[in-house]
Amino acid sequence: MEYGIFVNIFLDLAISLVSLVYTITLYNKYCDCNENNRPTQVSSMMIWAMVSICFIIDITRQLVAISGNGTLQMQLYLISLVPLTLVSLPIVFIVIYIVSGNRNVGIIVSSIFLVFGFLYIYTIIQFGGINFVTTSWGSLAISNNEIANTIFLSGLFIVPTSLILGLLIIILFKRIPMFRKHKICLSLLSISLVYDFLLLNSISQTGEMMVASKIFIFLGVVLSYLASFPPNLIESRYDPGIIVIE
Amino acid sequence: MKIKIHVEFEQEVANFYQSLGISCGPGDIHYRLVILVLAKNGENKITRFSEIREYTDKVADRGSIGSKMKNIFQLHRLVKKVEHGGYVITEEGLHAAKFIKDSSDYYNNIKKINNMLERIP
Repeated sequence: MEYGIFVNIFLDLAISLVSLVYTITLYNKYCDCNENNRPTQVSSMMIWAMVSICFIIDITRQLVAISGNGTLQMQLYLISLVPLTLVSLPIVFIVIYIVSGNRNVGIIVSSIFLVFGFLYIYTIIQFGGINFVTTSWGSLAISNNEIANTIFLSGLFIVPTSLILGLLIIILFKRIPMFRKHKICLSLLSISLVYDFLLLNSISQTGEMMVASKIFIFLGVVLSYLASFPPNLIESRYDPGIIVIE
Repeated sequence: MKIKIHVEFEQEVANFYQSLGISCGPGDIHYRLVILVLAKNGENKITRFSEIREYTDKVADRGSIGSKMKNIFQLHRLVKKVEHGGYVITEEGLHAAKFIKDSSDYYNNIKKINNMLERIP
Protein backbone atom coordinates (compact mmCIF):
# COMPACT_ATOMS: atom_id res chain seq x y z
CA MET A 1 0.00 0.00 0.00
CA GLU A 2 1.18 3.52 -0.83
CA TYR A 3 2.26 5.94 1.89
CA GLY A 4 0.33 8.71 0.11
CA ILE A 5 -2.98 7.21 1.24
CA PHE A 6 -1.78 7.32 4.85
CA VAL A 7 -0.76 10.97 4.43
CA ASN A 8 -4.21 11.67 2.99
CA ILE A 9 -6.01 9.88 5.81
CA PHE A 10 -3.78 11.55 8.39
CA LEU A 11 -4.64 14.98 6.95
CA ASP A 12 -8.36 14.10 6.97
CA LEU A 13 -8.06 13.00 10.59
CA ALA A 14 -6.14 16.14 11.58
CA ILE A 15 -8.68 18.45 9.90
CA SER A 16 -11.69 16.66 11.39
CA LEU A 17 -10.17 16.59 14.88
CA VAL A 18 -9.09 20.24 14.90
CA SER A 19 -12.48 21.32 13.51
CA LEU A 20 -14.28 19.22 16.09
CA VAL A 21 -12.20 20.63 18.95
CA TYR A 22 -12.79 24.13 17.57
CA THR A 23 -16.56 23.50 17.39
CA ILE A 24 -16.60 22.23 20.99
CA THR A 25 -14.56 25.24 22.17
CA LEU A 26 -16.96 27.60 20.39
CA TYR A 27 -19.87 25.78 22.02
CA ASN A 28 -18.27 26.20 25.46
CA LYS A 29 -17.87 29.92 24.78
CA TYR A 30 -21.51 30.21 23.67
CA CYS A 31 -22.73 31.26 27.11
CA ASP A 32 -20.38 34.29 27.01
CA CYS A 33 -22.17 35.60 23.93
CA ASN A 34 -24.91 38.23 24.05
CA GLU A 35 -28.20 38.34 22.17
CA ASN A 36 -26.61 40.10 19.19
CA ASN A 37 -23.67 37.82 18.48
CA ARG A 38 -25.27 34.49 19.33
CA PRO A 39 -26.47 33.81 15.73
CA THR A 40 -22.94 34.45 14.44
CA GLN A 41 -21.48 32.10 17.06
CA VAL A 42 -23.99 29.35 16.18
CA SER A 43 -23.21 29.79 12.47
CA SER A 44 -19.47 29.54 13.15
CA MET A 45 -20.10 26.35 15.10
CA MET A 46 -22.11 25.00 12.17
CA ILE A 47 -19.34 25.79 9.66
CA TRP A 48 -16.65 23.95 11.63
CA ALA A 49 -18.94 21.07 12.57
CA MET A 50 -19.76 20.54 8.91
CA VAL A 51 -16.10 20.70 7.91
CA SER A 52 -15.41 18.09 10.57
CA ILE A 53 -18.28 15.83 9.43
CA CYS A 54 -17.20 16.20 5.81
CA PHE A 55 -13.71 14.94 6.60
CA ILE A 56 -14.88 12.15 8.90
CA ILE A 57 -16.92 10.84 5.96
CA ASP A 58 -13.89 11.33 3.70
CA ILE A 59 -11.74 9.18 6.03
CA THR A 60 -14.33 6.41 5.80
CA ARG A 61 -14.46 6.80 2.01
CA GLN A 62 -10.69 6.56 1.72
CA LEU A 63 -10.69 3.41 3.85
CA VAL A 64 -13.51 1.93 1.74
CA ALA A 65 -11.51 2.80 -1.40
CA ILE A 66 -8.62 0.69 -0.09
CA SER A 67 -10.98 -2.27 0.26
CA GLY A 68 -12.27 -1.56 -3.28
CA ASN A 69 -16.03 -1.39 -2.58
CA GLY A 70 -17.25 0.99 -5.30
CA THR A 71 -20.95 1.11 -4.33
CA LEU A 72 -20.25 1.99 -0.71
CA GLN A 73 -17.73 4.58 -1.86
CA MET A 74 -20.38 6.24 -4.03
CA GLN A 75 -22.86 6.23 -1.16
CA LEU A 76 -20.32 7.79 1.19
CA TYR A 77 -19.44 10.39 -1.44
CA LEU A 78 -23.11 11.36 -1.77
CA ILE A 79 -23.44 11.62 2.02
CA SER A 80 -20.31 13.81 2.15
CA LEU A 81 -21.92 16.19 -0.36
CA VAL A 82 -24.56 17.13 2.21
CA PRO A 83 -22.18 18.84 4.70
CA LEU A 84 -20.08 20.12 1.80
CA THR A 85 -22.95 22.00 0.20
CA LEU A 86 -24.45 23.03 3.54
CA VAL A 87 -21.25 24.86 4.58
CA SER A 88 -22.24 27.75 2.31
CA LEU A 89 -25.43 28.41 4.34
CA PRO A 90 -23.86 29.55 7.63
CA ILE A 91 -21.16 31.45 5.70
CA VAL A 92 -23.77 33.46 3.81
CA PHE A 93 -25.86 33.88 6.97
CA ILE A 94 -22.87 35.25 8.93
CA VAL A 95 -22.07 37.88 6.30
CA ILE A 96 -25.68 38.97 5.75
CA TYR A 97 -26.46 39.03 9.48
CA ILE A 98 -23.34 41.03 10.38
CA VAL A 99 -23.96 43.60 7.66
CA SER A 100 -27.75 43.94 7.87
CA GLY A 101 -28.36 43.04 11.51
CA ASN A 102 -31.55 41.27 10.48
CA ARG A 103 -31.69 37.58 11.36
CA ASN A 104 -34.60 36.87 9.01
CA VAL A 105 -32.89 38.42 5.99
CA GLY A 106 -29.86 36.22 6.73
CA ILE A 107 -32.04 33.11 6.91
CA ILE A 108 -33.89 33.96 3.68
CA VAL A 109 -30.72 34.70 1.69
CA SER A 110 -28.92 31.60 2.97
CA SER A 111 -32.00 29.50 2.08
CA ILE A 112 -31.30 30.31 -1.57
CA PHE A 113 -28.02 28.42 -1.19
CA LEU A 114 -29.91 25.51 0.29
CA VAL A 115 -31.74 25.33 -3.05
CA PHE A 116 -28.41 25.43 -4.92
CA GLY A 117 -27.05 22.67 -2.68
CA PHE A 118 -30.15 20.56 -3.23
CA LEU A 119 -29.95 21.10 -7.00
CA TYR A 120 -26.28 20.11 -7.01
CA ILE A 121 -26.89 16.84 -5.13
CA TYR A 122 -30.01 16.14 -7.22
CA THR A 123 -28.11 16.57 -10.53
CA ILE A 124 -25.36 14.25 -9.34
CA ILE A 125 -27.86 11.58 -8.25
CA GLN A 126 -29.96 12.02 -11.39
CA PHE A 127 -27.29 12.35 -14.08
CA GLY A 128 -24.31 10.68 -12.40
CA GLY A 129 -20.95 11.41 -13.99
CA ILE A 130 -18.84 10.70 -10.91
CA ASN A 131 -15.82 8.47 -11.49
CA PHE A 132 -13.63 7.23 -8.66
CA VAL A 133 -9.95 7.05 -9.44
CA THR A 134 -7.56 5.53 -6.92
CA THR A 135 -4.17 7.20 -7.05
CA SER A 136 -1.11 6.81 -4.86
CA TRP A 137 -2.51 9.68 -2.73
CA GLY A 138 -5.95 8.17 -2.21
CA SER A 139 -9.33 7.97 -3.87
CA LEU A 140 -10.43 10.85 -6.07
CA ALA A 141 -13.99 11.61 -7.11
CA ILE A 142 -13.78 13.15 -10.57
CA SER A 143 -16.97 14.81 -11.71
CA ASN A 144 -17.77 14.84 -15.43
CA ASN A 145 -21.23 16.21 -14.79
CA GLU A 146 -21.12 19.64 -16.43
CA ILE A 147 -24.47 20.83 -15.01
CA ALA A 148 -23.47 19.88 -11.46
CA ASN A 149 -20.06 21.53 -11.87
CA THR A 150 -21.66 24.75 -13.11
CA ILE A 151 -24.14 24.84 -10.20
CA PHE A 152 -21.31 24.07 -7.82
CA LEU A 153 -18.98 26.80 -9.02
CA SER A 154 -21.43 29.56 -9.85
CA GLY A 155 -24.01 28.91 -7.14
CA LEU A 156 -22.08 27.58 -4.21
CA PHE A 157 -18.59 28.95 -4.71
CA ILE A 158 -18.50 32.45 -6.22
CA VAL A 159 -21.19 34.22 -4.17
CA PRO A 160 -20.23 33.05 -0.63
CA THR A 161 -16.52 33.69 -1.32
CA SER A 162 -17.27 37.17 -2.67
CA LEU A 163 -19.47 37.91 0.35
CA ILE A 164 -16.72 36.94 2.78
CA LEU A 165 -14.09 38.94 0.93
CA GLY A 166 -16.48 41.91 0.73
CA LEU A 167 -17.02 41.84 4.50
CA LEU A 168 -13.27 41.47 5.00
CA ILE A 169 -12.65 44.64 2.98
CA ILE A 170 -15.38 46.53 4.89
CA ILE A 171 -13.79 45.57 8.24
CA LEU A 172 -10.27 46.35 6.98
CA PHE A 173 -11.18 49.92 6.12
CA LYS A 174 -13.07 50.65 9.34
CA ARG A 175 -11.35 52.38 12.22
CA ILE A 176 -11.53 49.76 14.94
CA PRO A 177 -8.97 48.59 17.51
CA MET A 178 -6.15 46.66 15.84
CA PHE A 179 -6.49 43.55 17.98
CA ARG A 180 -10.21 43.30 17.21
CA LYS A 181 -9.49 43.89 13.53
CA HIS A 182 -6.80 41.19 13.60
CA LYS A 183 -9.21 38.68 15.15
CA ILE A 184 -12.11 39.40 12.80
CA CYS A 185 -10.03 39.60 9.61
CA LEU A 186 -8.08 36.44 10.39
CA SER A 187 -11.33 34.59 11.12
CA LEU A 188 -12.86 35.71 7.83
CA LEU A 189 -9.69 34.99 5.91
CA SER A 190 -9.44 31.49 7.34
CA ILE A 191 -13.13 30.75 6.59
CA SER A 192 -12.50 31.91 3.03
CA LEU A 193 -9.32 29.81 2.80
CA VAL A 194 -11.03 26.68 4.13
CA TYR A 195 -14.10 27.14 1.94
CA ASP A 196 -12.07 27.76 -1.23
CA PHE A 197 -9.85 24.73 -0.72
CA LEU A 198 -12.78 22.60 0.39
CA LEU A 199 -14.30 23.19 -3.02
CA LEU A 200 -10.96 22.78 -4.80
CA ASN A 201 -10.49 19.51 -2.94
CA SER A 202 -13.82 18.22 -4.20
CA ILE A 203 -13.10 19.08 -7.84
CA SER A 204 -9.40 18.15 -7.81
CA GLN A 205 -8.27 16.09 -10.78
CA THR A 206 -5.01 14.73 -9.36
CA GLY A 207 -3.96 13.19 -6.05
CA GLU A 208 -1.32 15.87 -5.46
CA MET A 209 -3.91 18.60 -5.89
CA MET A 210 -6.21 16.88 -3.40
CA VAL A 211 -3.48 16.54 -0.77
CA ALA A 212 -2.29 20.13 -1.32
CA SER A 213 -5.90 21.35 -0.86
CA LYS A 214 -6.18 19.37 2.36
CA ILE A 215 -2.95 20.91 3.68
CA PHE A 216 -4.39 24.38 3.05
CA ILE A 217 -7.69 23.40 4.68
CA PHE A 218 -5.77 22.24 7.73
CA LEU A 219 -3.83 25.51 7.82
CA GLY A 220 -7.13 27.40 7.49
CA VAL A 221 -8.73 25.56 10.41
CA VAL A 222 -5.67 26.14 12.61
CA LEU A 223 -5.60 29.81 11.58
CA SER A 224 -9.25 30.19 12.44
CA TYR A 225 -8.70 28.62 15.85
CA LEU A 226 -5.79 30.98 16.47
CA ALA A 227 -7.92 33.92 15.35
CA SER A 228 -10.69 33.11 17.84
CA PHE A 229 -8.34 32.12 20.66
CA PRO A 230 -5.12 34.03 20.00
CA PRO A 231 -1.97 32.93 21.82
CA ASN A 232 -0.42 35.26 24.42
CA LEU A 233 2.35 36.20 22.00
CA ILE A 234 -0.12 37.79 19.57
CA GLU A 235 -2.19 39.33 22.35
CA SER A 236 0.85 40.96 23.97
CA ARG A 237 1.86 42.45 20.63
CA TYR A 238 -1.33 44.49 20.52
CA ASP A 239 -1.58 45.08 24.27
CA PRO A 240 1.97 45.43 25.59
CA GLY A 241 0.81 45.82 29.19
CA ILE A 242 1.04 49.60 29.52
CA ILE A 243 0.55 50.66 33.12
CA VAL A 244 -2.28 53.18 33.38
CA ILE A 245 -1.81 55.97 35.95
CA GLU A 246 -5.18 56.98 37.36
CA MET B 1 -31.49 72.73 4.50
CA LYS B 2 -34.21 70.14 5.05
CA ILE B 3 -34.15 69.30 8.73
CA LYS B 4 -36.24 67.05 10.94
CA ILE B 5 -35.64 67.46 14.64
CA HIS B 6 -35.98 64.55 17.05
CA VAL B 7 -35.16 65.64 20.57
CA GLU B 8 -34.41 62.08 21.79
CA PHE B 9 -32.02 61.45 18.93
CA GLU B 10 -30.25 64.78 19.43
CA GLN B 11 -29.92 63.95 23.12
CA GLU B 12 -28.37 60.61 22.18
CA VAL B 13 -25.89 62.30 19.82
CA ALA B 14 -25.02 64.94 22.44
CA ASN B 15 -24.42 62.21 25.03
CA PHE B 16 -22.11 60.43 22.57
CA TYR B 17 -20.01 63.57 22.05
CA GLN B 18 -19.97 64.25 25.79
CA SER B 19 -18.60 60.73 26.27
CA LEU B 20 -15.74 61.79 23.97
CA GLY B 21 -15.06 64.80 26.20
CA ILE B 22 -16.75 67.28 23.82
CA SER B 23 -19.22 69.07 26.03
CA CYS B 24 -19.68 72.22 23.92
CA GLY B 25 -21.10 72.46 20.39
CA PRO B 26 -21.95 68.93 19.21
CA GLY B 27 -21.97 67.68 22.80
CA ASP B 28 -24.37 70.37 24.03
CA ILE B 29 -28.01 69.40 23.56
CA HIS B 30 -29.20 73.02 23.96
CA TYR B 31 -26.82 74.24 21.26
CA ARG B 32 -27.83 71.40 18.94
CA LEU B 33 -31.56 72.03 19.26
CA VAL B 34 -31.36 75.83 18.97
CA ILE B 35 -29.15 75.82 15.86
CA LEU B 36 -31.24 73.12 14.20
CA VAL B 37 -34.52 75.00 14.81
CA LEU B 38 -32.94 78.16 13.40
CA ALA B 39 -31.55 76.30 10.37
CA LYS B 40 -34.89 74.59 9.80
CA ASN B 41 -36.54 77.98 9.33
CA GLY B 42 -33.68 79.21 7.14
CA GLU B 43 -32.12 82.63 6.79
CA ASN B 44 -35.19 84.33 5.34
CA LYS B 45 -37.61 83.49 8.09
CA ILE B 46 -37.79 84.82 11.62
CA THR B 47 -37.58 82.12 14.27
CA ARG B 48 -39.64 82.88 17.37
CA PHE B 49 -38.21 82.09 20.79
CA SER B 50 -41.40 80.16 21.52
CA GLU B 51 -40.67 77.97 18.50
CA ILE B 52 -37.22 77.16 19.90
CA ARG B 53 -38.77 76.41 23.30
CA GLU B 54 -41.10 73.85 21.74
CA TYR B 55 -38.04 71.63 21.42
CA THR B 56 -35.83 72.84 24.25
CA ASP B 57 -38.48 72.71 26.98
CA LYS B 58 -38.11 68.92 27.09
CA VAL B 59 -34.44 69.20 28.06
CA ALA B 60 -33.85 72.67 29.52
CA ASP B 61 -35.55 75.53 31.34
CA ARG B 62 -36.41 78.80 29.66
CA GLY B 63 -33.71 80.83 31.42
CA SER B 64 -30.79 78.71 30.32
CA ILE B 65 -31.88 78.84 26.70
CA GLY B 66 -32.36 82.61 26.89
CA SER B 67 -28.88 83.11 28.26
CA LYS B 68 -27.42 80.73 25.67
CA MET B 69 -29.08 82.74 22.90
CA LYS B 70 -27.40 85.87 24.21
CA ASN B 71 -23.99 84.54 25.29
CA ILE B 72 -23.30 82.11 22.49
CA PHE B 73 -25.55 82.61 19.50
CA GLN B 74 -25.75 86.41 19.47
CA LEU B 75 -22.23 86.98 20.78
CA HIS B 76 -20.66 84.80 18.08
CA ARG B 77 -22.99 86.22 15.42
CA LEU B 78 -24.66 82.93 14.66
CA VAL B 79 -28.03 84.69 14.89
CA LYS B 80 -29.32 88.23 14.57
CA LYS B 81 -32.00 89.46 16.92
CA VAL B 82 -34.45 91.23 14.62
CA GLU B 83 -37.27 91.87 17.07
CA HIS B 84 -38.31 91.02 20.61
CA GLY B 85 -38.15 87.20 20.78
CA GLY B 86 -37.39 86.90 17.07
CA TYR B 87 -34.11 85.68 15.56
CA VAL B 88 -32.72 85.09 12.08
CA ILE B 89 -29.83 82.72 11.40
CA THR B 90 -26.69 84.20 9.81
CA GLU B 91 -24.25 82.64 7.34
CA GLU B 92 -22.00 81.59 10.25
CA GLY B 93 -25.03 80.05 11.89
CA LEU B 94 -25.76 78.04 8.76
CA HIS B 95 -22.16 76.76 8.79
CA ALA B 96 -22.63 75.77 12.43
CA ALA B 97 -25.91 74.00 11.57
CA LYS B 98 -24.20 72.12 8.75
CA PHE B 99 -21.49 71.06 11.18
CA ILE B 100 -24.11 69.84 13.67
CA LYS B 101 -25.85 67.87 10.90
CA ASP B 102 -22.50 66.33 9.91
CA SER B 103 -21.85 65.44 13.54
CA SER B 104 -25.14 63.47 13.53
CA ASP B 105 -24.05 61.63 10.38
CA TYR B 106 -20.71 60.82 12.00
CA TYR B 107 -22.51 59.51 15.07
CA ASN B 108 -24.77 57.35 12.87
CA ASN B 109 -21.73 55.97 11.08
CA ILE B 110 -19.95 55.12 14.36
CA LYS B 111 -23.15 53.56 15.72
CA LYS B 112 -23.52 51.44 12.58
CA ILE B 113 -19.96 50.13 12.89
CA ASN B 114 -20.39 49.44 16.60
CA ASN B 115 -23.63 47.55 15.98
CA MET B 116 -21.91 45.56 13.24
CA LEU B 117 -18.99 44.69 15.53
CA GLU B 118 -21.40 43.73 18.30
CA ARG B 119 -22.72 40.96 16.04
CA ILE B 120 -19.28 39.42 15.80
CA PRO B 121 -18.41 37.30 18.83
